[in-house]
Amino acid sequence: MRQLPQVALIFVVIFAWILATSAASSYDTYLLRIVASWAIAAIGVQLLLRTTGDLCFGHGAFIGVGAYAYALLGGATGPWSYLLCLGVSAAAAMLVSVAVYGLLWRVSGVYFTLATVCFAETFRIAVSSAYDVLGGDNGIHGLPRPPWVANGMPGVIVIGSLLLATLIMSISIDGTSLGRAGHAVRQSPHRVESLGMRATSIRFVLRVVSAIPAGIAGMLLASLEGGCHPQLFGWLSSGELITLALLCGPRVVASPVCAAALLVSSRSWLAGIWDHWPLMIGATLVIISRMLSWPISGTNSSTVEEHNASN
Amino acid sequence: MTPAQVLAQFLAGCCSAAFLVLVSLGVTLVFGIARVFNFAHGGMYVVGGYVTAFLTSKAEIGALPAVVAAMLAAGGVALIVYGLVFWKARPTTSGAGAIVGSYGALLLITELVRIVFGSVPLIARVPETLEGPLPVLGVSRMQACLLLIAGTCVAVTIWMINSTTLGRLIRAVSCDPWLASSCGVRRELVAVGVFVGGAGLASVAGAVSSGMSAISPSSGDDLIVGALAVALLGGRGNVLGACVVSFLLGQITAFGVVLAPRLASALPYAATVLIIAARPSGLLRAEATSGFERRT
Repeated sequence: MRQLPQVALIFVVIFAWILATSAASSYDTYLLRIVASWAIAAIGVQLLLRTTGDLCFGHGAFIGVGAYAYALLGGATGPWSYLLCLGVSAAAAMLVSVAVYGLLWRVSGVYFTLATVCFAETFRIAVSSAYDVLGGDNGIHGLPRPPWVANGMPGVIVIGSLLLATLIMSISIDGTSLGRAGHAVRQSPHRVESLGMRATSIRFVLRVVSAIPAGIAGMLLASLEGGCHPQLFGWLSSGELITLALLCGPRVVASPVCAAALLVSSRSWLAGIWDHWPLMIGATLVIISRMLSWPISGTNSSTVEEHNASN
Repeated sequence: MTPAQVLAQFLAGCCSAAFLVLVSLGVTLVFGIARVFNFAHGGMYVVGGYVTAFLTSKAEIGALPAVVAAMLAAGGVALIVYGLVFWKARPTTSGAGAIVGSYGALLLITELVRIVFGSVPLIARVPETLEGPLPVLGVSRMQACLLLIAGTCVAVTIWMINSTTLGRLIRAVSCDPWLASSCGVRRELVAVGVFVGGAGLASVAGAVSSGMSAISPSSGDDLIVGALAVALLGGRGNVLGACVVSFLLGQITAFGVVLAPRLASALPYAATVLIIAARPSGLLRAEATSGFERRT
């Protein structure tokens, strides 16, 4: 219930968003939907970082999987086919995450982060080289943009509901035994093991759960932009998600929504007048890095723990 | 594949490995001391490459002074990055904070390079003595020069770590930073030294690379992943381990070009994932070169 003020704030923001959408220009509403899509993906990244402490540079790959699943289905024009595509994209991201995280079952800390960077790059290069099926470097374009997603109020309600559902899922996981076990794994996997729980299983489940929103976000982005490209898979794409997840602090569940609104809108504004907008993102990350006190397993934080234990 | 093709690919793999070693030496030493990823290292490589390419091709300066200038520039950038991201960071904040900060620094450096030098890829002017192939083995003079530089850098680094006072300090901070601090070792200064030295090595790699092929502002993004893979798989702070892993990944890349041309650049990444899955704490043990643990 500590997150209740944040949930209330998010409800107010979404309500204001729906009101703004009804009055704003079509480009502004498009931007709002892009914000929501990136926020959905970043919520997954943040959930993982907040619970198990795993820093994953591979969620961009799950965005790509969701986007390409939608593209391979040929897009969607009607509401029911859209919902079907949504389910398929989420399932595809989940299946890929089960395979990848199953492979990385025993891996944690910086080695996990490195492995996620590498699998994201493997996916990106593999997709870039598949010219026949996946369009190679150019990706797949010319997908139908459902008018009710791109312009109308039903699309706002669909994307807003998905954002809300993802946020509620993220918040409610904290209160479940799985979420509590995840927090315990971050603090001390050895103590969790000594209590009879398997830290690897807890990590695996939370990693897979965190990948599903990224798949959904990928599908939303592909339908909003009418296509997808291999750069979505890359580790730099995941880096942006980590920025969103951490900008307002890893404990703040609303951080991805606020950060996505801030970064997407400022990027859109800056891109029109200045080509070097990544400079702003880089500077922001450097500044917030000094304020972050969130340990990830396998780094100095765990060494501190070992040091304290040895004394 | 004929024996001649195998030999050619093997030599190409050695050149890839030499290049990877040069970039990853700094990452390995920084990871040994700070235990964090330093994504900004990719930026030092780009700075080194661009400064060398600009000075040799536009300002008509000789290769050697240009490389020295590149090392100084990268060292200066490294000093600023260290001050912004790592300086006096509490040990407990160096988890997500240091990784995110160094990633932000990489973005900053890449964009600053774009602003200063433009987005057009640059290529350095190579001295005439380094042009053309060697009469034996079929490698170019530039590749031979790369192998020589990498070998020298590895030998000097190992000698420095094992036989100098600075090396002993680095080993002490790497093994137990708290004990080293309590013995009067100024941990921050040692870390700054390693950070700047590593940046110098990365800038040499960038300088050599800019003489072999054009360098672009985003070159560091792809390269840093390979360097991090080498640093982690080789064992924390383990320079010889970094050489072994670089050799392995270099050969995978070289033979991948023949066996699976389209996926050749993905193979080292896939191999890294598989190695980590099989050995979750790296391929080799930490700090084997220092011998510190064995002696104590």
